[in-house]
Amino acid sequence: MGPPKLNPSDAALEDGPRLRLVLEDEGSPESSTQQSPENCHSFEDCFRRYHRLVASIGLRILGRRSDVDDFVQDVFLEVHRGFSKLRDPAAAGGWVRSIAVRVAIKRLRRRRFAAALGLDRPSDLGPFPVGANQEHAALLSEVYSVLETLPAKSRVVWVLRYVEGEKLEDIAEAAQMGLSTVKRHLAAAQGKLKEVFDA
Amino acid sequence: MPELEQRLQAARPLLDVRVSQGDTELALGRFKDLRKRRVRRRQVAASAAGFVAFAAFGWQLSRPPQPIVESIAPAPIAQTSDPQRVHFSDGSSARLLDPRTKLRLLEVSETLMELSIDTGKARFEVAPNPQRLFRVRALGIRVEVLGTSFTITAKDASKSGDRSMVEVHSGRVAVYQGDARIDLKAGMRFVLENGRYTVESETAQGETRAPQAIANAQPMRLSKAPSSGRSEAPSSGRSAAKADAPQKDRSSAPKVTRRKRVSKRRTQRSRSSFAGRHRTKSTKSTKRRWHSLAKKGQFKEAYRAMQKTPVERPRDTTEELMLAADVARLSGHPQDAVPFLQRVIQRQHPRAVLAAFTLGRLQQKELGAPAKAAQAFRRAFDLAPEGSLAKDALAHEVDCLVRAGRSARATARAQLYLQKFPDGPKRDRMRRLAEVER
Repeated sequence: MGPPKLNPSDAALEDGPRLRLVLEDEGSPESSTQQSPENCHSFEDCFRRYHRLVASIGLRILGRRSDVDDFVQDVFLEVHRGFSKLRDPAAAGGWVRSIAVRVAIKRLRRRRFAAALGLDRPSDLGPFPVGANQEHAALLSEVYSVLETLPAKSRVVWVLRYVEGEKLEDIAEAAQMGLSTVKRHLAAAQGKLKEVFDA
Repeated sequence: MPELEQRLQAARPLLDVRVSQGDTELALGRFKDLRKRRVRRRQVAASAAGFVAFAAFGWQLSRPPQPIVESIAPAPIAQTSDPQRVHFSDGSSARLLDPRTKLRLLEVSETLMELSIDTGKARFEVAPNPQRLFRVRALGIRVEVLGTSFTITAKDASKSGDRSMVEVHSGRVAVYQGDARIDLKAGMRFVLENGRYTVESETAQGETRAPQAIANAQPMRLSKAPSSGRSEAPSSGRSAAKADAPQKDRSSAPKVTRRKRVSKRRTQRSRSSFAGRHRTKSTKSTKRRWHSLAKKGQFKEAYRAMQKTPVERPRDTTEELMLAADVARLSGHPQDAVPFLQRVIQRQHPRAVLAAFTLGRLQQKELGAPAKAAQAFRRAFDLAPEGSLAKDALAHEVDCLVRAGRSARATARAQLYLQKFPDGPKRDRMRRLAEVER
């Protein structure tokens, strides 16, 4: 058994700018008050539970580590605005995911617009961790450079399908599209990637 | 494209985002602060509608992302009445040794864990992690470690003057005071009080030991103190050296020609003799600076450090050469990566294949030199024709030969691809190229 963990008095975030102290390992069986809540009964619960999910979606769709923090803030701003209308806390996951996808699409469109005006700063998917598999890193860089040329929705659909591994029906729900629209976007993205990778 | 999908799945872990609970809490704190600022900003924008909204939209597109962490006032995270141990998600821990200890978490990321101890005393046990810097700030100093055990004491000005102390129990730490850096080993203690610092080391049998490991990147800006004896007789088994820094103190400096010469150069630029006295150690410590920056992922800074002096040049080992190539590539200087990779390729080393492949990619994608890229890919294939990169290397070689206008050669290599990898992902393209000649 390890040394006792510090359990601060209930310095909830609503009380002011105090952070909870115990930074325990993720997945530690001894985590007590710091585990992600089962349901989102408050916005803070929602933030804690889905922060990692949103950050992952951000990186995988946007393809830039430098954009992830801003993306997370934008998503949770939307979540915060609509939180009072969430009727079923157990359904928060799908709702947050759909907001994340929608915000990602907006950001991608804004990025393409900025790029058209010469205002976007190209950025790499890396840096990858030191010691990362070079072949994988090279593959991802190449894939994402192709994705950069796709329209936002096609890109998002393709990433959700082939990077996140989502089913088409779930993608349709998250992206708020019809199934046939999803298939159409996917085919467009696949066509582009096939040109490059099978060429 | 099932093969691409399989390869993507294998590469997927590189797209994982590691988020600890500390990261989440920090992000939540930032979000709350950001929301307040946004509400204020919206009110200002609403009062000057059209033109301000348009200007704000245009300004939003062009401005760089604001560093949020710096704008957040550090929030206290612990103030307990009993000694407690705090565990961090990377396995490090801090034991708070004083009831009045105030420990704050300033920043948590993949490459940095930064805390501040405003008052009190805490002992830190830092888990070794070459990819993450553990930094603690305390009243005028900062301590950076890469896996060690040390205690920091911080007394604020409301007590008997500002005083910070760092005691190292195991491993090594670097203590920064202003622009100066002092490296401490196990058994050493650094004390900063009222602008003066001392470095003490435990000695065997009460012998006096000269100050060690003073590595000043810049001269220290200390207040002048009256000249005193440099080595005091130990009273409790410790030797102490006062950092008086008068100009005439050089007679006590170790008689090492190299140090003296460098010392002379240094004192021409600095006001303190301390920078000169310990220049050798400084040279040794900055020699690896590019290496440690690169290991932390700070490639631009590593590249700058690498350019500074000849001593910063990478050693002639495969690991360093590959790292130097990464530094050059990832800091936006792909041309500079070429010689490092070429040196690795010339070695009889398993990583020569990877170096050749990387060189090929560099020449192909970033330097726009398809002919040279084809040569590099050819080398990668020849070094390991049965290896995991062989298929891709051969395919890329063919592509580059086509782009370089060497179609006959490209056809021959395409035929080789079909022969060796009949089910390869690029078989269709290779077939088309091979059929050109027929």
